[in-house]
Amino acid sequence: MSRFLVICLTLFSAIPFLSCDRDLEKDNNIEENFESLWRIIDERYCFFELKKDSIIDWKQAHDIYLPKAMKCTTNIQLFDVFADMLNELKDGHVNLTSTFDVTRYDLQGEHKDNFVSNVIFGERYLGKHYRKAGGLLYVVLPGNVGYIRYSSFSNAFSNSNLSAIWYFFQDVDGLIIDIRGNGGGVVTNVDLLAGCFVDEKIKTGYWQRKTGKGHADLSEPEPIYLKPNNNASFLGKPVAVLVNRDVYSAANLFSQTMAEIPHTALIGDKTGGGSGMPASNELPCGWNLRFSSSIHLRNDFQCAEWGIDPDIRVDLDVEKAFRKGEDNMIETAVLWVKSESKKIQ
Amino acid sequence: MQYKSFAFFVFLWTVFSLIAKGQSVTDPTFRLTDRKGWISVGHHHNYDDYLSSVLYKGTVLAAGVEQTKLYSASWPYMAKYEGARFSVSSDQNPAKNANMAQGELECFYGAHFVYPVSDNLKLNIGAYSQLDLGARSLLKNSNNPLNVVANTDFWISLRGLYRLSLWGRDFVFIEHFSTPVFGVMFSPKYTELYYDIHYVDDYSGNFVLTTYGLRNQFRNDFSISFPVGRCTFSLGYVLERAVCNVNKLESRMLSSSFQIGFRKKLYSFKGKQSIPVMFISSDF
Repeated sequence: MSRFLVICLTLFSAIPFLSCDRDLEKDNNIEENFESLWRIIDERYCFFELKKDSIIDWKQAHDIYLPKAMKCTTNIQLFDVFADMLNELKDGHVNLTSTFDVTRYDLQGEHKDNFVSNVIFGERYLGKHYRKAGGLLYVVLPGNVGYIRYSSFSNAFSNSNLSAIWYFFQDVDGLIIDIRGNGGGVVTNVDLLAGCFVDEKIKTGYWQRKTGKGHADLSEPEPIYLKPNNNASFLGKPVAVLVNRDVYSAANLFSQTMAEIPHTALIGDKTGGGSGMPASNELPCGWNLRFSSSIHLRNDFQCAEWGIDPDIRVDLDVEKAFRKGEDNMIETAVLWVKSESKKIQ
Repeated sequence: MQYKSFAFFVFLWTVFSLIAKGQSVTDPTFRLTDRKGWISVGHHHNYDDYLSSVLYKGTVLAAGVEQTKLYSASWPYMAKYEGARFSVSSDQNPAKNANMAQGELECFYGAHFVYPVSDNLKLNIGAYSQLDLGARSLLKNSNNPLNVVANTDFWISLRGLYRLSLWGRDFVFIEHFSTPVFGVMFSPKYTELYYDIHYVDDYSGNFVLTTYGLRNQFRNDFSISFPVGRCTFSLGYVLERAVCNVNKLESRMLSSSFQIGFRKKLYSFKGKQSIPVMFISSDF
């Protein structure tokens, strides 16, 4: 019996040493929250190396914002200090979410909107009798050009939806996909839609992720490919993609992908960027932090974080838009589609 | 190197399983099975660096079955050990505004060598292979809401059983300590999202050979069995701890549970033979 007890006691004696998680128990005070926020970004944010000439040195940010944070007397004040520090990263994928607010970086800046929703829904374009398949609104425009309005990559659609649209568009000369104002969403929708326009696998860029806590700890770029969507193809016709500065994240990736496909043109303004895949973490106070954790590069190894230049640069003529209900960016796209269609034939 | 290590692990796992399985085939004349079913509830810590940088605390519920089979004749001191456990846990962050949920199935298969120290005390030493499958979820994370738990390990196991007669009943005290020695586990790479894995279609570095240092874990199960009427009840306390640091991602788990269950002995034999006395009176 005594021997057995000795064994049991020996085993139990190890337990207190092994079961200690005290080092993970952080106090919910200003300093701990600040240090958590700063450290998560410091160790996991992927763009420090690429943006080193255009954003603040992160250690310097620590020294500037910690004293400001320590002076805060309310949660709202603290949240605003955190927001200011995070906005130094100039990244729309970096957001802090609390119960009362979400921080966000102003992507639009001084740039033009180049999009008026009322004009799109006017009689000249979608009107009141447009069709809707999943999250895609579509209509055939005068001039026999198909027009799809896709406002968010969070809006779902299926291959059946796409097949139905392509059947509807079987006699059109080409297609316009209007993603202006599309701030991104589900990335798998990019493959689903863009895959309709290729009949073989193509390389659309490279992928790079963080490999360690250092700012320059990045993996070798790995190629990423677009596979054909064999269940819903729309091949052999020109496709114009309408873009503006609000095209971000998954929509930016869609623009990057479409730019690699033949007989496709980006028309409008430069896209907003956002080529990092975001991940989430949290602070001891429960505020949720989102940040870019891996990088998309274009085929020429340039990063699309700052946006993609269009093939045809056009700004919206606001006066025409409001007075005549005419969107000159769509009109430009129609002309390009008609001319490209003739070239293909 | 990684593939060679993985192949070596699969080889060992297969050989060990075949040896354990082989015992039941080579000597089927007599068998004593000790089967135990249990449920447990207790305190739980969950920390998964991939999902969150804060420690989550909450409750774990688990249920399981396990059985030990002792063979007669040529293998009187070899006992097969097998079973399965299923656990669900729900843990909350310190700010009490998010829940991390985990579901996990563990299946194990192995054998113990039974060493009778005295009539009342037996020591078991053995090993088993265990497969863990499950997932941890933190739904407030939009892009990384889930982390898969998938690993298979080779555990060593030490067990002591002491039978004590009190008030005309046999009480059996069982202390069971086990720890994985090496194994293979799945883990995303540092800052890698599951979407990335699927998108790039590159699983290199996601299956990691783990040993002490990378993955430290133990399970300590202390229970007392006692007969009540025709049943044998079991009350126990189980403490399980896992600390893992793979691909620069750390995870920790602590589970401290009280267990209630029942045990049943089953005898099976061929032909005309009596049950050896040592088996009737003994636990293993």
